[in-house]
Amino acid sequence: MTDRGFFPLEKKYAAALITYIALAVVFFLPWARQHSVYGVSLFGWLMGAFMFVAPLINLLLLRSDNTGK
Amino acid sequence: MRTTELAVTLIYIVVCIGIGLWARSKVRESKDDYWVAGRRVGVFTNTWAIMAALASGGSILGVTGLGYRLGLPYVFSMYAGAVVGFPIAAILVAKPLVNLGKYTITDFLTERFDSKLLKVVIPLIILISMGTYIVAQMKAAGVAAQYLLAISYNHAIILTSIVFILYVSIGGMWAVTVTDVLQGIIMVGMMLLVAVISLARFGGLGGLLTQATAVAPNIGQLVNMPMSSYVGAFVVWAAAIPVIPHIVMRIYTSKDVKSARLSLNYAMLIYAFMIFFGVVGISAGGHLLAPGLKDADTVYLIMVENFLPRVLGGLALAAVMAAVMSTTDALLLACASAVSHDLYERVINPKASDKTLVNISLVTTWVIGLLAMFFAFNPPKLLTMLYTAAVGLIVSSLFVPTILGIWWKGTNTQGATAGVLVGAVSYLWLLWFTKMPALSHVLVSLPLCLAVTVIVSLLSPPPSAATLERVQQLHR
Repeated sequence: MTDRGFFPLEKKYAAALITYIALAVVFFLPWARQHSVYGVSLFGWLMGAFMFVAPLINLLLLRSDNTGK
Repeated sequence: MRTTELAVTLIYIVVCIGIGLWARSKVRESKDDYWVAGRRVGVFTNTWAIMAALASGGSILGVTGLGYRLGLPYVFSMYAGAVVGFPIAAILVAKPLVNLGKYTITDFLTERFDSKLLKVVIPLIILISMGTYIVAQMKAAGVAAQYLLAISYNHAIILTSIVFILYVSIGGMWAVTVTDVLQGIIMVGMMLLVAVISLARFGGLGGLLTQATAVAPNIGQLVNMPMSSYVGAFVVWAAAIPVIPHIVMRIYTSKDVKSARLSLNYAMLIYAFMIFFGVVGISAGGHLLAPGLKDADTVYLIMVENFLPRVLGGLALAAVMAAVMSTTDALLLACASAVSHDLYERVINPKASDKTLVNISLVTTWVIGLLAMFFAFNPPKLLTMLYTAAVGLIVSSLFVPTILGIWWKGTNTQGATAGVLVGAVSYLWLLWFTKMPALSHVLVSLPLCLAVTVIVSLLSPPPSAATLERVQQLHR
């Protein structure tokens, strides 16, 4: 029987990847372009926040990671 | 001639060359030291080096100009893609590549897929795309030095090119790493300094944005571009980071897997601070200090001239040179390794000694650097298009085979080869022969590459047990 499955990815990292993709999809939906804060579209603020949130989520996950040490 | 600025720039140049000479003693006879700094680079150093390698000339002059002209949402959506690409790289490729213990992205792909065609095609794709990237950076260096030092464009190109070709060729990855740390600290420090002064001058974040959007309402809104351009810009950079050669080489330099993952994420946090506050403080503040600029790319320089004393101003201008050089040196090393390691060592002469390979790298660095300098004297008019094509070409051809090669057991040589070729050809065809919105081509070529890789893999014999065992070892 040929194995055409996937190599396992730790659940927390799989969850992080799904979160990034889901956030990107949600931010690109039309609702984010219909509001403004300080004159800047909410889409802009969300994308700006995304730049900080993504590496921060990963750093939090890495705190409990001893891989390769 | 601006004496103070020139003096600061010359000191900076002398320091860079000095670092190259120091590094020469470390890399003379070891390809591990020359290409991946002996795999001994720690978290702090690699964080700054990764940040500096990504932050190119466009990350200071270009990004602030783009924010001034097209608005904050456009810039944030484009740069969020790059920043998100790093956590994705940390999760999907850092561990297997560090465990592989090689030098380039080609090493992984040609070890995973036994294809003579890929051994030649992948280095060629890297050479074409990264070579184009270097020419674009050299042009930026020339324009910046011309403005900052009041010297001719060609002299500016020669000065900056000779400096980084010299220290890369003699000092390899050690020189690139140490100069990148210096350059990274200078560019982040100066960009944030100018941004903070602007924020303080115009009433903080809320005050500045309220005033700026009253003067120029468009900077807060989405410009009149199709949404596919926004999505394409995000996807291109998010998918580029895990496979773009000069970032992949930095992963190989890490001491271990955790160090690589930490460096990638810390680097992007610093980069996010620089881009976010730089764009808010400088691009938006620029509309209050210098409204209606014809050349938006000069907004940072105008801020520097108005806000900083001469010596600090000189350093702020050196930061622009640092941004250009820190990316170009890494690109140059990636191109040199594509020739000397990927093509010469792996295809032509697998028994070459380390000393021979280091010497070939040195010569290759000069040849590629001088060729790029020659093209930069008369850069193609469609440079922006070519530069975008450079990143898009890498993404369209290498992202899917790399990620599937690491994670899907069913990926085989036939599937990967077909994926690389279809991804590259379809991207270039869409770019040159269709009128799709800017940056959106990858939204077609990437799924096409995925479909072809999967279908051809499923229709041909699966990888051998020995191949899968080797990949399994990379996940240990």
